[in-house]
Amino acid sequence: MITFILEILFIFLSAVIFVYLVRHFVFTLTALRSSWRRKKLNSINSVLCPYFVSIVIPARNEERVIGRLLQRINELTYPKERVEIIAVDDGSSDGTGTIMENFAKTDSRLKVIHQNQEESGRGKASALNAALRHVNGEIVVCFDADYYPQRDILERLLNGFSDPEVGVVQGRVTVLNEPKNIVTRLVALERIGGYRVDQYARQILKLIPQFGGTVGAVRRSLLDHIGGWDESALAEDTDLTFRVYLAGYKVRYINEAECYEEAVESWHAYWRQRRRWAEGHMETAFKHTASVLKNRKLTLREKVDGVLLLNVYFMPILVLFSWIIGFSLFFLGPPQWISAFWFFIPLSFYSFVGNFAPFFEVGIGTYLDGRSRASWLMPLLLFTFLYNVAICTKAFADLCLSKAFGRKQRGWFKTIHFGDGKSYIIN
Amino acid sequence: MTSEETKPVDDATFAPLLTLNDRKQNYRKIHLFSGLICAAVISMIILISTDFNYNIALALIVFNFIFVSLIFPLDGSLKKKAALLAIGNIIGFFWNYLFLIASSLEIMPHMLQVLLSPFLNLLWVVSYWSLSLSFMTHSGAHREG
Repeated sequence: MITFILEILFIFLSAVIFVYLVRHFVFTLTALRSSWRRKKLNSINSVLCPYFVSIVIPARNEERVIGRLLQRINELTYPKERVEIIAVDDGSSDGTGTIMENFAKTDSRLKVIHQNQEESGRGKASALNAALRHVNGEIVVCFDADYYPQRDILERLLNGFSDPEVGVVQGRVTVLNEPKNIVTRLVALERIGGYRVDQYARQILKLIPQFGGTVGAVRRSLLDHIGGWDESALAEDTDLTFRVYLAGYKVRYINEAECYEEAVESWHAYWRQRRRWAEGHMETAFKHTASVLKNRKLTLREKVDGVLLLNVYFMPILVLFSWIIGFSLFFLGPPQWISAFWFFIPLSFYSFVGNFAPFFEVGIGTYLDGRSRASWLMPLLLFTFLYNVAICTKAFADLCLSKAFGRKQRGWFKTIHFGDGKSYIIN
Repeated sequence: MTSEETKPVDDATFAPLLTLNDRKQNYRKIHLFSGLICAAVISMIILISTDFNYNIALALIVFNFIFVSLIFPLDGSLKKKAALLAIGNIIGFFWNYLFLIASSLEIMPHMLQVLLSPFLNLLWVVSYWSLSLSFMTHSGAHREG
């Protein structure tokens, strides 16, 4: 009887793993095929620039990078009279606030908001909502302090709003400090798979591209309609993505709107960042899965993709679980068919890593970017996956504990930035 | 292979694209179709053959399928792609015999073999696929801008 139950469970888990693998294979083929069809960059509506834009920068203890971003924003090609900048110094104990004020002296468009001790430390969503109260623009564009946008990123992002159904436009994130060490190199691979193929294919297939919380533009009217950012959400970006879809709007991904980020540089920082992402994403899955399935504004393909996207951070745990069951079945006397299913488990070990792009998705992403050397590191994604198994398991345990004990207060989960990196690898 | 090159972010163009022309679309289809025939024939041989370890046979079939569907439509000559596919299968065949020899000599317990073989198979599959892709990128693609 136990063997029978384990077999059924094993088949079910293997089937779920297989569904995710097929999903990513379809994404990969879609991105590849779509790239063949395109002959030139998307045209940019650079002449009209119809929107008044508010650039919002939430920051806490970012003195090493905030100046670089503010300087870069001053160099953007979008008409300066149609841009305001709102920088939130969320109770920084370093020189972040002073640097912001120094820039504000030379740039009248920059408004600095200093959160006092009582208001600060409640997390990024809280800082974004504080900025939202001062916003005058029709479009709100978010940048994290460690980001470094391309000069005409606003034109490229805002081009996505030509469709009135689009409420949010997301740009591409590329790693700036990739040459630093093996961690930054592997994170860069994950980013390539996650954005160049995964997000891009979801856009082409009219599924659910995800708002990443930064390098993204949101309609102000939509933010007012849905009540701004949810301060109780740990993954406020994923939460916003689904609230936007549930409100009847869409997220659009624009691959040509590129922005550089400083990736985590150590395994410890990787653990902290990914654990927060995993816990936040799982929390959002509990919150929105049922609503996504019931919502009548979503198409069937959006519902299917929405559910798969929401639950993607559970996959490393399910893969581990299926490995344990498969292992147990071998001891209990394996039936002949099990070898076929057994094979999907290690295959999935090269999948569901980081931003959850399988090895072939990452590989095709590097190809589309013209990166002949980057794919050499792909076999190492196995170790990243194993690390993510531990991260997701810990995140799930933490989430269960927080649910059990009713912990709701959110704070900043800071990734330390160093301001390194001024070039990116092109081969 | 050339050494690693970097470019200052200030000079960066947007998301790099491959330069393309319409004639290549037909080549892709022909290459893909040819590759699928090759993969089907190889898979049939593997399935018919009694000499194959079950897991390695499965790994080789998966390898052929992923390799053909994702590498064959890329820029590059059909000869290169066919040669890379052939080398991959030769590695798979050798790997199989290595495993069979290890099995007959009882170097590794049977249970450990069954449990580890899918992982070990995928190690070479992913490594070889990555190198092949790198080779194709280097020889066939280039950035715009």
